[in-house]
This record gives sequence, structure tokens and C-alpha cells, in this order.
Amino acid sequence: MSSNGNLLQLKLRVWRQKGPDDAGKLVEYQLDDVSPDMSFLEMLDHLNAKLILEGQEPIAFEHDCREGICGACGAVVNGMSHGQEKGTTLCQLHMRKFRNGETITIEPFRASAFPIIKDLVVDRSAFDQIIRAGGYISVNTGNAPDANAIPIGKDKADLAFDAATCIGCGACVAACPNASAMLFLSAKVSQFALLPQGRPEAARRVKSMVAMHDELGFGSCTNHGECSTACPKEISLANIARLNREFAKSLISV
Amino acid sequence: MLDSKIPAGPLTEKWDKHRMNIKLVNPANKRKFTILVVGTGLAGASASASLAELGYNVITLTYHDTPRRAHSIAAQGGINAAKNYPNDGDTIWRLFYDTIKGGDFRAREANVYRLAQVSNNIIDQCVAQGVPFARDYGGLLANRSFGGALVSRTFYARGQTGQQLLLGAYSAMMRQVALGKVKLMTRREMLDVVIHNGRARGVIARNMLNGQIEPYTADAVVLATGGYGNVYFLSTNAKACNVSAAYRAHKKGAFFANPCYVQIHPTCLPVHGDIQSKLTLMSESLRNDGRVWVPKNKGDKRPPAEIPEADRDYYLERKYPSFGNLVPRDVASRNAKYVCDEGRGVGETGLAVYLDFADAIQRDGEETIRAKYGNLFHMYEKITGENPYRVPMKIFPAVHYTMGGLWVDYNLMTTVPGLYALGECNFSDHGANRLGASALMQGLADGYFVIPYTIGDYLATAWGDLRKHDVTPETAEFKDAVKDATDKTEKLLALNGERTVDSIHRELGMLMWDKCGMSRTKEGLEEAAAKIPQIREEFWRNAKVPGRGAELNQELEKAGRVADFLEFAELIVQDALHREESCGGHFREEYQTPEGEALRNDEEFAYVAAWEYNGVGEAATLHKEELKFENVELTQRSYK
Amino acid sequence: MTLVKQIFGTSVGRKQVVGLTSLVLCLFIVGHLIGNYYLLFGEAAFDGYAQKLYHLGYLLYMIEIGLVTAFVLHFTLAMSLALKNMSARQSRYAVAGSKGGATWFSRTMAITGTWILIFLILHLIHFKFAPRDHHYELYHIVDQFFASKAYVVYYVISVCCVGFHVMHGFQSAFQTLGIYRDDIKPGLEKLSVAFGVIVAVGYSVLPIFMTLTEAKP
Ligand SMILES: Cc1cc2nc3c(=O)[nH]c(=O)nc-3n(C[C@H](O)[C@H](O)[C@H](O)COP(=O)(O)OP(=O)(O)OC[C@H]3O[C@@H](n4cnc5c(N)ncnc54)[C@H](O)[C@@H]3O)c2cc1C
Ligand code: SF4
Ligand code: FES
Repeated sequence: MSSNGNLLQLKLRVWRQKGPDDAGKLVEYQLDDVSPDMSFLEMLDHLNAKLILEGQEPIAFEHDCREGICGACGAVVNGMSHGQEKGTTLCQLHMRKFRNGETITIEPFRASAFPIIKDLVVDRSAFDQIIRAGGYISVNTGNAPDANAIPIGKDKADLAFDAATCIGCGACVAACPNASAMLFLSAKVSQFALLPQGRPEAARRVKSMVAMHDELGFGSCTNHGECSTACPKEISLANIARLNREFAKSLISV
Repeated sequence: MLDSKIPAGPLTEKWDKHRMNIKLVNPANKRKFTILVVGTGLAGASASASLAELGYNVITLTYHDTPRRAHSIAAQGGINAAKNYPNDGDTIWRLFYDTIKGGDFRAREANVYRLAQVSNNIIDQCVAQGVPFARDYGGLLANRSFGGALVSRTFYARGQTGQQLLLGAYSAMMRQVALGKVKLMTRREMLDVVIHNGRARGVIARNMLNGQIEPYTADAVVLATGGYGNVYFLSTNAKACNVSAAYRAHKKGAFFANPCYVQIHPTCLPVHGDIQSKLTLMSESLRNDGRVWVPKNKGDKRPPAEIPEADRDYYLERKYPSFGNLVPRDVASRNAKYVCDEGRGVGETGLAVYLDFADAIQRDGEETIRAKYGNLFHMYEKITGENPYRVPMKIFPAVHYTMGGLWVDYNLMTTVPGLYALGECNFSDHGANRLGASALMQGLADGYFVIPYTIGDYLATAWGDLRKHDVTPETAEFKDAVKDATDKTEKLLALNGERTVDSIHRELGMLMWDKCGMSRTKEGLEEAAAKIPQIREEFWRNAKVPGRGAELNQELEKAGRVADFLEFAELIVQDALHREESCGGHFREEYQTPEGEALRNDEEFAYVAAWEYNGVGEAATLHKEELKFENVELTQRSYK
Repeated sequence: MTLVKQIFGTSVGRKQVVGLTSLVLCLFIVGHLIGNYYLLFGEAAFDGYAQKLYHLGYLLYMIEIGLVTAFVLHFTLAMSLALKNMSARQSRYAVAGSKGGATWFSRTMAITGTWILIFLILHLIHFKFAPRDHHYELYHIVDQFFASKAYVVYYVISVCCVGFHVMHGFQSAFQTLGIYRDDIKPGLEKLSVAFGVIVAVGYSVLPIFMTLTEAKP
């Protein structure tokens, strides 16, 4: 590292859990040479390299794109999903946001529907199940009319886009006091509810996705709003309201 | 000579004729076939969905925890199509021509034309799926222009086009999962292709949660496993991207084409320290307003604001007065390398150049610049902690895309019968250089509109043979492959040296970047060819792989991939050495025009180099596919 | 899915019933509060008001049945959701943190709700079903009840709970029923807090006033 002067000394408390059935505990590590330019994940890489060479098991954590779009990364840092910065995934969080000497507690996303696999790695396949239950528009390849056949007002298209930016990271579930996945679910329902292509299946979609959500063991939404502030894509609570509206509509439609 | 199976007839009619002539599988019989798809990026997800819709049984594997995380998710800029909505004179022909020319005349005409033909269907399909493309106030789709084209043909969804397209393909696939037609196997890393009686009949994969090595049998195998840019360690690719699936297919007999064609993107965030794990792409559009410069004098360590105009070198404007900062990707990248090699690079590492917006801000005002690039500036500040409105950005080129890949014929079949390659994992459409917004187009073209037809032809033809030589997990080849993979895993787990897998990967990457990156020489390549085996040896002697096999073990996964990179790198270098010309992403310093531009040698090298595997450390055997240009005229690029 | 199953078998259906009933109960809270202010005008006025209510006859019974139904649905469904929510996260975070959103009021809905249930039952016992000669002779009962300082404190705490519950609950009901606009959300949140304060203060004022006036010779 180039400028030794401003390296950070940090105390890390990291959740270590060998496997799904292990009880798990917080383990302390001291890191004295953290560059402020490192991303949070690079800091973990750095710690892992040390652990490996010392003959210890590295900390398992998920990541891939490291630029905030794949949704693979995520942990609860000092009690906050993806750390304290708003609109940021863990991979985009940089160590310059931490103070020298700080103690950082790193835990996995916790929810019954997201069982822990190892250390910070959790099983988020429940999200796929929710999508499977109706998060699509039923159109076979080759069946599509010309792309400009249905004009869609820019305002609606933009709202649909905002909802569609969800990266499926699960931070909303981790932050929700009820471990509800309603923000994730509502983002998908909203995207399709706002587009004319999505209307024909709207009622069926919302019913079956909500039913699946419940079956998977997520909690119900009680409108705390923690999800939206934790969401790295800042998905709006308006989407949950829209989902509720769609659900109510589906009660009266056939 | 390789047979690319290009249909006869005029270019514009080849695909239609081909579709008419190929055999179809009886709809009732489709459910008797199982197709294995590896990968859930744009190519894999679209193929899985479309094949399942046709009635085939599809098994789809991915090493991700969910299909939606495939690297396609990260594509930013957009996707091309010849819709001509802006009425600016675009046609299928023009898209075809731009792609061929952009590829520096090293791509197959027939494939590229087909790609341009189906490009419009892709946009229709995606819109029908609910992909929220940008629209204008009239409610119709918006377009923007991209490098290498004079028309506006790029469809986009803000800076997240890849994400939106992938989510579209993913949802189409999940619908088939719900219908029971796609069996989705996540957290499965394919380790080998299994060939029985001369045909690809399945794969074996490691269950990444419990380490089980699982056999998967099928009637055909489709690889859509992405590119190999991570052989350079640092790249804009996602961390997990790797060559293993393609490389192991190569080891089983599939030829690997043009591995030396690697695209290096000029505007990425520079390396900041030796712990850096990946590079981030900054949109190329920044070069519209930013001015690229470095200090005139070597070792000038003054902060940029204190360097007077007289001591700055706006080298792109100086060398290319007419294109200036807007020269193509490869030219911009190479020149950044030259100035840094001269010791004039900036930043802590000396491996960066300035991209300065001061003049643009003075000319147009900060608000205008903010409106154009606000989100990019914000991202830059988030990562670097520097405010680009005040201090010039620091940028540097980075490995971005790999044009090379498994050799495939017109039907996207590799040299192994029944084994197909789609998307970035094949070599087919981009020649020696890919134009912006064309990879997404190709991935979806392959998956939605090509493979559903061409695989039917194979299955209909091979039907009798496939049934006669049916396979089960007990078939000898499967058992052998499982055993091989188990042995290899054990070998990796036994590594108990003094170095992390990453440090060795980093060493390989540095070597490749220096000697086989933006600009290559015979000596440099020979040096690399000599060093790679040493690094490989170092790996097998001195790497350390902790943990056990029967659990989630990310270091083990990494080690397996790096082991393949260490073999595959040699193939890249061999290809680069043999191609004694410069074209697209492959620049050999010995072959340049007096102005320093890439100098092609069409007489000798207008062919696809497809390599056949001969063993670890053994030179591969070259097979050529002649490239015939019957519809376009070969020209030399110039950006002066 | 049958309609009943869709409403009572899903989390969103249940919470929409909770939201809908909450608005009914909010109306009741307001009505009850207004009625209470007859207390200020003395025994005759208050008992007269009570008598008027009793004269509604069957209408009153229907309103009462409606309220009880609303309350029972509201409470049981909300509790069933709260239990589901508790099981949705079985392991706790070692460090509690928040980037914003939840409030003390939103986090204590189940607690304030349970308190309100107990309060309500006792309230009915203390007032509605209290033994008396004529059912509309209520002023006297109220007066006696608030003669005890302890009861006043208990009552004030309880109506504060109602206020807190409403602070989150009122605006939450709109969100739950899908009534949302970005531009009305901040206003609705303020209104909700104001509503809660009015309920808490409005109900507390009376017993405090009565105690103070009683203390005078
Ligand atoms: C930062 C960035 C920006 C880009 N922007 C653009 C753009 O604007 N426009 C454009 O056209 N192109 C762009 N590209 C290029 C484009 O994104 C890719 O070329 C394209 O998405 C590749 O798609 P794919 O389906 O072939 O592979 P990928 O999306 O890489 O998918 C590979 C899949 O294979 C799976 N896989 C791989 N190996 C195995 C294995 N052994 N076992 C099991 N599964 C395996 C993975 O899990 C994954 O699902 C960009 C690329 C980058 C890096
Ligand atoms: S809604 Fe936000 S927090 Fe939840 S999964 Fe999507 S991106 Fe992540
Ligand atoms: S690693 Fe992809 S979002 Fe963080």
C-alpha cells in the first residue's frame, strides 16, 4: 500500500458459522493496515488472505460484480444492511467511510426464509421462488408484436423502470423488523402492473406471488419503511402501496 | 479446413433458406429430448426459456445462487438493433456492415448478417416481456448512438441495459421453471463435458454447497458460460467469470478460436493499490466532453491544478487532430499505455491519465455537465473519494470483453457434435473487435432466435443414434469424468504452500497484461510463453487451498478456475504469437502503419484460427477457417 | 383461491382487513371523544347524551356489533400477523441499527395494541356494564371512577397508548389499502401524528380536568 500514513486500524467482529447447523458466533479480528481506498469487500479479501496464510479458514461471503448491480454481496454492518451509507451496496462501500480505531460488527442477513449457509453466506433462493410464482409476462419467443406497437407514457415507463432496478440482494428483508420481502415482491409486481403488457395477468400475478411470499416464511409488511432506506437501489414504498392496491383490485376482479 | 456450414445463396437469404431446409423435430417428440444449458446470462437464460417453450426438457446449470446474477447483469450502455425508428437511414445491411468493419474484417459475414436480421425481433421480444427501455414523451422507444456507428440504433434502459434484458430473459426462464419445463440447478459448477460415442451427452458439475460431483445426462449440451477476461486478473468482468467451462470443453475436443482477440476499454477507473480486486468501467460517453492529458515531463508529481497548460500533453488531440479524444477504444487504450510506459502516467501508481472536465465546465457550466454525467461523476466520487468537478478524473484502460471463444459453425455447434456454444463464450460475430452494444444483441440473438432452430436440426438427425447409444450416469464416460473431477478436487485441496490462489492469479494477470495486453511484441509474447509454465508450476507447488471439499469452499472454486487460466493463458499467447498482423484488439507493434495504426495482413491472416488441444504445456494444433468477404470490401481504418 | 382464503389466508389480505377495520375504529375513537366532552357540561348534559344514544335502539346494537366485529377482526388478525412476523426471524442481530424508517410507535404496535385490548375490556366493565339503576346514569359512574388518582394515571397511560397506536396506524392504513401519493405522504404522516396527539391529549384532558375540579372544596 502506498501511503502508510493514513492506514486504518480496525477491530472486526465477524459472524463465523461453519455450516447451516452450526450455532455460529462473533469472532474478533484486528486489522492494522486497511487502506481507506479499499472497498469493504477488498478489506475482507485482505483479511482472508491473512487468515489463509495463517492456516485458518477464510470468511465466506458472496460477491461477484463488485459494482453494485448483481445483488450478490450483502451483510449487516453495525446493524445496518450494506452498512451505513444510503443507496449503496456493500461492494460499493469504501473504508474511508470508517474511523480509525473503529469496531465493525459484520453479520449475515438474518431471516428464517434466508437460512445461513456459512459465515456471511445466506440462501436467498426464496426470491427465485417468488419470481417463479408469477414474476413474468407470459409471452413465448417469437410471439411479440412490434416494439412500438404499444406506446407507453414516459412517466409510467420511468416508474416501471424505477421498480425494475431491484437487484434482488435481500437487504430489504434483512432490515425489515418483520423480515418481510414485501419491497422486493412489490417492485416486481409494480413493474408489470405499470406496463400495459403486464395488465392481462395482473390479478393472477399478485395473488400467486403474495401467496408464495407467505408460504416461504417471510413476515408481513407493517409499514415500518426500514426496507426502503436500506435498499441500495432506493426502491420506493410507493411500490408496496401499489402492490396493496393491485391485491385489493384482484379481490374484486375475476 | 474447418467446415462452417454456411448455407449457400445470397447473403440476405441464407438464414431464411436455412430455416426452411433444416429438419424439424416433431412437436410430440420434443419432450423426449433433454437439453442441458450451462449458464444463465443473456445467452443461457434466453436459450433455456425458448427451448423449453418449444417443448424440450431443459436442465439449466449456473454457479450463481440465482440465475439473475450472471455477468450480463452488469452491461451498461445498450443493445443495438436495426429498427431505424429515428429514421436516420439505418438498415439491416448497415448494422451488418458496421459490425463487420468494427470487427476489423475478422468475422464471418453470414453470421453477422443473421445477427443484424434478428436484432429487431430481440427488441420486440424484450418489450413484450416488460423490459422498461427508455422512451420519449410520445411513449415510443428512444435511441442513442454508440461508438463505431453513424446512426442512432442503440436501445437502452438508463445505464442498466444488461440488467433489464437479463431480468427479462430470467423471468421468461422462471416461467418455464414454474411450468416444469426447465429444471434449474443453481450453485452448480460445471467441471467437464462428457462425450459418448462421439457426441456430447452431458456434463458433470460440482454442487457448491456440499461438494458432491454430480453427473447430468442429456441429448445435447449448450454452453453459454461467458468470456475469459479474468485471465488478466483485473478486468471489468465480475469476479467469478472464468474460462473453465469453455476450456474443459476445449480439452475434450472443441476447438478454441481466436483467443488472442481481447478488448480493452479505455475509460475505466485505474488501479489504486495492490489489493484492488477489480476494475470499474466508466461510460465511454465521458470522452465527448473530457480532455485526456498527462504531464509533458516524466516524473512531474505536481497536483494537476498546479501543472500549467504549457507543461501538459493532450496527447490524443496532438496525435489525432480530427478525432481527438474520440478515437476508437483500441487507439485510446494503446496511447494511454504508451504515455504511462514513458513514465508520464499520473496517480499513485503512475498507471493513469487525466480525463479533465475543466474546459467543458467553463464552457457549458457545471449544471450542464452535471445533467449529462451526474450519475457517472457520483459513482466516480463514491469509489475514489475525489470530486471530478474540481479535480480531473483519473482513468486507465482495462480488459473488458473477449471476442475469442469456442469455435462454432453457422449452427453454433462446436467441433464436438451436440455441443453448442452461445454468447460471449463463442467466437462467432465480433471478429477482432466488438462494437459497443453488440454483445447483448449477440447473446440474445443466439439464445432466442438461433439455437431453437439449429438444435432441432441436430436432434432430428441424430435421433436414432442418440437412442441407440443412450447414456445414464452409470455409462463409463460419466463415471470416468466424475472420477477425474474428484481426483482433481483432491489434488487442489492437497495444496498447502505459502501463497494464496489470488496472489498467483494476480501474477499471471500482470504478466498477461504487460506482454499480451494492449500492445504486443514477439519478444514480449515469447517471454510470456516461457513464464506462464513457471507460474503454473509455482501454483501446483506453492499455492494454498484451505478447507474441505464437502462444503461451501470458495477458495477451492477459485483454485480450480485459476488452474485453468494458467493453462489457457498459454493458448492466448500462442495465438497472439502466430498472428503476425495487427487487427482490432490484437495489436502487434511490429505490424503498424507509419502513423502507428493497426496494420492488417489480409493476404495471410484473413482466417479464423481454431486451436485443437494437445495436452498441458503442449502447443495446440492450428486449424484455419478461411474468411471470405463476398459482400464487403476490406478497408484500412484511419482516425487522423 | 377462494375469496375468503385470499382475504384471510394471505398476509396482505389480512392486513388489509386490519387496515380497513382500523379506519372504522378511528371513526369510533373520534365519535367517542366528542361524546366525552358532554362531561364538561355536567351530569344532566352527559346523561342526556347517553340517553339519546340508548334511544337509538336497534341501530345502537348494530353499531355495537359492528364495532365489536371490527375490533375482534382487527386484533386477532393483527396478532396473527405479529406472530408470523416473530417467527420470520428467529435469530437476533448482535448489533441493532437502522438507516431510518421504523419509529418507536411502529415497533410497539403489538404492545400498545395488547394494552388497548385489556384497557378496552376493563373499560367496558368499568363503565358500560357497571351496575346502576338506569343504564343512562353514567356521569356518576365516571365521576366516581376518576376520584381515584391511580385510575386517572392508568387511564391516561391507556389513552396515550391509543394515541401512539394511532400515530403509526392511521397513516399505515392508507398505505395498506393502497392509497398513496408521493406528494401526500409527508402530509399524511404529519396528520397521523397530529391525530395521535389529539387522541392522547383529548382523552386525557377530561379525567385530569375532573380531578382538578374535584380537588377544590
Ligand atoms: C462492465 C461491462 C459493461 C458491458 N456493457 C455492455 C453494453 O453496454 N452492451 C453490450 O452489448 N455488451 C456489454 N458488455 C458485454 C456483455 O455484457 C457480455 O458480453 C454478455 O453479457 C455476455 O453474456 P453471456 O450470456 O454470454 O455470459 P454471462 O452473462 O457472462 O453468463 C455466464 C453464465 O455462465 C455461468 N457459468 C460460467 N461458467 C460456468 C460453469 N463452469 N458452471 C456453471 N455455470 C457457469 C455463469 O453462472 C453465468 O450464468 C459489457 C460487459 C461488461 C463487463
Ligand atoms: S428491493 Fe432493494 S433491498 Fe430489496 S432486494 Fe431489491 S434492491 Fe435489494
Ligand atoms: S458484488 Fe454485485 S452488487 Fe455487490
